[in-house]
Amino acid sequence: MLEFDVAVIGAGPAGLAAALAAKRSGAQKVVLVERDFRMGGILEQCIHMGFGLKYFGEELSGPEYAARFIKRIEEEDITVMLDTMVLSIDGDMRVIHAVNKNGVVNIKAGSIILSMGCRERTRAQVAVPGTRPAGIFTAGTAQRFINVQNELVGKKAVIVGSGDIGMIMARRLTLEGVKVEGVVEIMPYLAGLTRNRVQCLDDYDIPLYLSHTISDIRGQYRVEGVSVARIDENREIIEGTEFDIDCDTILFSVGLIPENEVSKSAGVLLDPVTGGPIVDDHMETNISGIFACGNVLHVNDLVDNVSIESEKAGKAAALFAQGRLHEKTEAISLACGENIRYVTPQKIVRGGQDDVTIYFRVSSPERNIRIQAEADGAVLLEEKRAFVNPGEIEFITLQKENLSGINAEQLIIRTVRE
Amino acid sequence: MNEKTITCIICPSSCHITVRGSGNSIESIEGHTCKRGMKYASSEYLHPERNLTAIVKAKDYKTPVISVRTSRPVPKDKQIACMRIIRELEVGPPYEIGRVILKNILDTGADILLTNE
Ligand SMILES: Cc1cc2nc3c(=O)[nH]c(=O)nc-3n(C[C@H](O)[C@H](O)[C@H](O)COP(=O)(O)OP(=O)(O)OC[C@H]3O[C@@H](n4cnc5c(N)ncnc54)[C@H](O)[C@@H]3O)c2cc1C
Ligand code: SF4
Repeated sequence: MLEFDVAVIGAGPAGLAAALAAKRSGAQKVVLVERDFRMGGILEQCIHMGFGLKYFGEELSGPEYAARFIKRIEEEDITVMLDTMVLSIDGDMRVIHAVNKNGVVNIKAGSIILSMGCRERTRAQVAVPGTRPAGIFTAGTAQRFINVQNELVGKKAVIVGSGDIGMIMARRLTLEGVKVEGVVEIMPYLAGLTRNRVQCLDDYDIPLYLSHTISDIRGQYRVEGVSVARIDENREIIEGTEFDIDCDTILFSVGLIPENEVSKSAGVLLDPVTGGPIVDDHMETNISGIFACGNVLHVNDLVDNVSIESEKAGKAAALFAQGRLHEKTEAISLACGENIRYVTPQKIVRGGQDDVTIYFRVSSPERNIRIQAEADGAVLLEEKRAFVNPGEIEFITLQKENLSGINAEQLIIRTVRE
Repeated sequence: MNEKTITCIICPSSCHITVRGSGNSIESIEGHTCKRGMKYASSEYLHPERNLTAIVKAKDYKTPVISVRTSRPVPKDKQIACMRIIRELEVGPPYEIGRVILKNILDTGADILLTNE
């Protein structure tokens, strides 16, 4: 059995930042376990620009952003195990069971950081009717085929879902000479960032069909086309609105799901809305000594926020391994009020010495609102927003002075109309 | 007289800005909420530019291709022409981030750099 102070699972941006922070916060022996052949996570295939403005103050591509952290990891005395997949964790003993080409690897750790990221929702999870021909991919799989393996996926594509990955792939395919016939979105609004609609769709005159769905997929061996139809408020197809698009490729960009099979094996409790672990402001889960950060926790749209949040997890995990993180005491729970879909962390440990940043998403778009944090009927914090949108993560920071005065069990986050 | 509607991408408010003008002169800008938006709209109207990212074939590298980008934004209408050139490139070691593999593509002033190693 190998022994480490802090073991980090997944070497994406979350794991990289967490491992570095753990090392720099005094953990002697840190190990980073990654199933892929290299570090960097999803960023290795995100070759587009749009990373790092907040963290590094300059705009970078995904691989460049990851490389800055990878360099720092390589400079520190941190053990990196590549091509090694974690299968399960014994939560009480804090023992990780993994496999690689040498066989089984067992790691006993003082504390564990979960940073496995997320995976894509597939066609099966959105129940699209039609045949089952070749030529159907998730957008992220197509991204890896094209950007890493140099395999172009088709000649004429339709994209289902207006998430960022789908829109970014629409541009990528267009630049590679693939004709993108349209992006079909079931909701009445865009799932991803407006900036991506402008620069990935509008720039190339790619039609965006909001409130539309795929009513049929045609083709016996290879995709030959799709039928698209407008839907009403109840998501029922409006008759007579159906039209056909010929294509040989369909990309699904219909959301991401935090990758938590390993977390569950350790007894970690998940939030039904985020799909990720319930954590406190130290990023600690319900299991003592097991922490979580990045996309495994909730789907982030800005990698810079992931790095910042993961440093907190790394630091807390290092303190825990050294017996310096104070005992789990009572915590204030955070509740979702008006138009808030989820908040994370879901708890704040009483008596903390730090300001706490809370990330959240709204349920539906709103203009000119205030974000309110309320406990015991008193408003602790209020911030204006000109515009909020479910596709863009929001955050507020509660000052430690504000937090120390709270006696209530609950702190409610909500939006209030002006 | 030309009219162009631009969605501002500087902040999430996404204002719709209308720019009117002819040739290289702007007559009016409407619909912006702040100065940053006005600046963005005028540059989008006069000379829209984009960063370009792509992949090129890589010999003796850990994957068949390596990612690249332009060192500065290139005019929007030259993107496709630039891509045609980039697609034909092939590189060998050393693989270092920032290494220039093609200078001044299509006289845009932008170099093509490696973004991975
Ligand atoms: C297509 C796309 C475009 C994006 N565009 C932007 C953008 O423009 N700007 C921006 O700021 N952000 C962007 N993001 C978001 C950003 O990339 C993510 O928020 C960030 O990568 C999340 O990091 P992570 O480390 O949590 O997850 P990941 O990057 O997914 O890393 C998780 C790692 O864990 C490993 N792993 C998982 N399970 C196991 C296991 N059992 N054992 C061992 N290893 C395991 C995986 O192999 C992977 O390397 C984009 C994301 C995607 C998918
Ligand atoms: S004009 Fe100003 S307020 Fe409007 S989107 Fe642009 S930056 Fe934001």
